[in-house]
Amino acid sequence: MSNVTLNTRKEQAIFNKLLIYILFIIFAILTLYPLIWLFYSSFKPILEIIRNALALPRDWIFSNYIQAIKIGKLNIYAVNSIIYTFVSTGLVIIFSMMASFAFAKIKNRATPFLYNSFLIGLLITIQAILIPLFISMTRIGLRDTRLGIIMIYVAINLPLAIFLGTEYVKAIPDSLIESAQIDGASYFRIFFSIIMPMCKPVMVTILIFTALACWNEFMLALVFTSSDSSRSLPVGIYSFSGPLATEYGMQFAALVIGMAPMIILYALFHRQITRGFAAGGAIKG
Amino acid sequence: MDRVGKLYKNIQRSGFLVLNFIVIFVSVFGQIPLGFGLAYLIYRKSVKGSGFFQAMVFLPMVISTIIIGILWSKMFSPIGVVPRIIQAITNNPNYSMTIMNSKQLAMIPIGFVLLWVYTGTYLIIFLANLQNIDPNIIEAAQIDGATDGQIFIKIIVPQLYGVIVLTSILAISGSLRSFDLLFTMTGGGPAYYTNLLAIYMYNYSFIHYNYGVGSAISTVMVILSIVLVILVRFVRRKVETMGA
Repeated sequence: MSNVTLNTRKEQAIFNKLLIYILFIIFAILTLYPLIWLFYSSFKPILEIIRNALALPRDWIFSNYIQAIKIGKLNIYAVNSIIYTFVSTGLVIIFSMMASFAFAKIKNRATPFLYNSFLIGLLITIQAILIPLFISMTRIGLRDTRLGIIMIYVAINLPLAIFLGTEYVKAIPDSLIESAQIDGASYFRIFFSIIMPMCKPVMVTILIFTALACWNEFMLALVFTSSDSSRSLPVGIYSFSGPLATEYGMQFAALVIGMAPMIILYALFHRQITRGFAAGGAIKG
Repeated sequence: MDRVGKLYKNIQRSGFLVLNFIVIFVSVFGQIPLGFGLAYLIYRKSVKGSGFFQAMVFLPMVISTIIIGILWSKMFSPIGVVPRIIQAITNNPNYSMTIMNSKQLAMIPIGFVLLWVYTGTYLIIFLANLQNIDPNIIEAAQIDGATDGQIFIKIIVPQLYGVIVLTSILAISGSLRSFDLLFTMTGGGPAYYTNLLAIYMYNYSFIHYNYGVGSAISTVMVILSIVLVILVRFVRRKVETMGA
């Protein structure tokens, strides 16, 4: 290509386009290649990983996965992670939608104060409350329990959910609620029959944010859990970089197990996920 | 005050503020321009299949950061891909990777991975904001004979000025509290040189069980983030009055 002279405008435009394509393809390869490498390396025996890092496995073996699950107890941790993600996300959605309805549509003198006290949670960094939280959880006896982890996850994910939900419910016209009230509907009836069905888009956004945050959360799970019955998957995967750090095959298998669910979900729902991040990402922080 | 003084001395000795600074630098001057540039190219429809590329750049955001940290530390380790590529380029089959063990060079992989993970977020934020710009303005400029470069500098950048400042502040506050990635990539090594504030606090509180110093560090972090929050509010108000 170097001997082509770029004297006309058209050639320049094509050249630019080519450059842009190359740039984007490099980005795509940079994203995909490490993941693909990790995937096929997880099927190699350890000697092959060390000798031929780049090569495809000669024959695909599953023993890495079986061992990783057995030694790393990933099956227990995966169940814990699933419980944390499902329960926390469900609770966050129910609580945040109820709170959003109240903050947006049931006005009294305490509303702004209560609303702002939730929004303060958006500004607090987790590390700031880590030590007091650790001490109080230990005293209450909730440290290293599933209930304790779920409570923390719900609490740290509520502020963003309530913020997004309240902004959304505010846009629903008051007249809809008033006409339902005239027809004799209770607040509960209005909430379940009018507000919830209309809030589906924002509920999807909240679901995505909360589920991703709970499934991937690491630091709190590391600090607050110590026994097998309450550890989550990220902590289990991290434990492979301790004494087992040279068991590359097992470690790779554990990494694949940890990220596969999220990649599958992303492949299915990437439009909703990116839209959710565009809506919520600018607010978080 | 004694604890804060002790903390300050420790910080000075370990020189780890340098790393915090580098992380912030990469976030503000790496992720944001890259994300902005890519978002602009997608916005101007320079590529076909932009949905695919957008999805690719954003993909790392949904993967747990500890998995990314371990994966990339393996990529850069002697059994990984990066040393093989360097061996192939330099034609030196005996080359071995020591980047992660060197004080000065350990920053390179960390900076790279930070870019790899977070560029997608800024791409999404900038793209959403670019799509909010009134297309009539750009059309009018094109009719007046403005070139692409002129449109970019005279119209796009001023319109997004507020977003750029806001995302920079968010990037700074985000990097102040980042923990997982560096914790798994380096564990604070070599010789605690790659410690971030958050990891420093974790080590003091939950490895050495010194809650006092740990609390002192988290107090510093809280003060820093409150300052940043006030800054965000201030900029937002400025931008809103500018728009009105």
